[in-house]
Amino acid sequence: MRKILPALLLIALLFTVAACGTPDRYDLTEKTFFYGMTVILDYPTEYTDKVISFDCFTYRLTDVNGKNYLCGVRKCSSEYGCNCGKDTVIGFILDYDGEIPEPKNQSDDTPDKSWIHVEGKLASTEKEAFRIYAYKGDEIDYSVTEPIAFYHFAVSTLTPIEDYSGLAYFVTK
Amino acid sequence: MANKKYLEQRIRAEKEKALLAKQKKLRIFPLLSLGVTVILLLLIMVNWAGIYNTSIDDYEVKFTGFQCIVAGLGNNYTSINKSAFGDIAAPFYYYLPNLTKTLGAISSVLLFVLIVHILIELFAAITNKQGIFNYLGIGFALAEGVLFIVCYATALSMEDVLIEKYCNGNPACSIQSGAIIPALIAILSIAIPVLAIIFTKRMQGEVSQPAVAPQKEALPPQKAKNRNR
Repeated sequence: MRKILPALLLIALLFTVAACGTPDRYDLTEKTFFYGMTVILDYPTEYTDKVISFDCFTYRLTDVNGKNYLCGVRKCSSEYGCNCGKDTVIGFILDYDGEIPEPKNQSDDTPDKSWIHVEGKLASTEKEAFRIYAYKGDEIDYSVTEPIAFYHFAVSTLTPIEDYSGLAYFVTK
Repeated sequence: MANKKYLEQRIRAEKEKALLAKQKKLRIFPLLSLGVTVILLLLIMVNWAGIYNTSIDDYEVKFTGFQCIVAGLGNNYTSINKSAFGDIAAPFYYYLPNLTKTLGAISSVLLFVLIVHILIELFAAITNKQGIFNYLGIGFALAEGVLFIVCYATALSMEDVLIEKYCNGNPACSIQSGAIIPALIAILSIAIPVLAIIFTKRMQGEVSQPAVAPQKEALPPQKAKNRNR
């Protein structure tokens, strides 16, 4: 019975430690990328002052007016519960003073992309919404447009990744 | 007359001795309650709410009671930290903030009730006191049972919204909650203090019986003979 009291105190301490405090930075890994990105996108105001780092590939989005947006994204699998929709990407529009590697094999479902490791902070809590032409198979269908919205991410450091063999092109839960 | 008094005292002393021995046996009840309550505390680790998909034969998303309490105590339902918070942030809190917060609050109260109950049973077991502690035991076990059931019902009530919005109406998906297991155990555990009360009352009844009847039998035959003269 003497062991029960310390055990109870330990349980209370565990709950307190687990419940208190949030870290100042989040390094998204292969294991935490999808969930972490989903939560950040769901609650941007909670993460504006946090340093976030993750691996992604560059992706160019061009709106119907011809304006270009260079993004850092991962392909999102279209399983049940994936809120980003089918055959789409999850990530941010990258705001960076330096040079962002040009996207590679953008319309191909291949991991052979321009991979980068970025670190920075959310630049806005409002998504930038624009319209893009829809894809019909592998071709762009200029008769159909679809809405898309991304948050801006202020990149502080950007490092190209040469060996991306350990990185998943499709991300899932 | 003095002899009669002496015998009464002796019988009473023997009965008290027997009562003490029986009272020691009654310690089993607070110990049992203590054990069951500790088990209930550990059962908070079970899946509190989760979306089960029969197609993959696994949970799509879930969180445990422990994770729910951590979120409730810290009022933090938007954390990325899956090990501490499970999938509470997404999709549960995202689609159902009020229900998720309610579940967090109820679960936190439940933890508090369980800890207080454990301390009470611990005290009852150490001091071997019955009476009020048995009634407290019934009250706490009942409260725990109700709280576990409320947690279970709250989790299940998330089904319509989550299946529609998160699972796109996938018929293979359903909300599951393991909170029903500790709920049933808590309700069944009410039997322990009830039995303790029954046994205690029976014992008290035995003690309060008049010491006259057995006194006659206890009289030595010689004295009984004298009385007959």
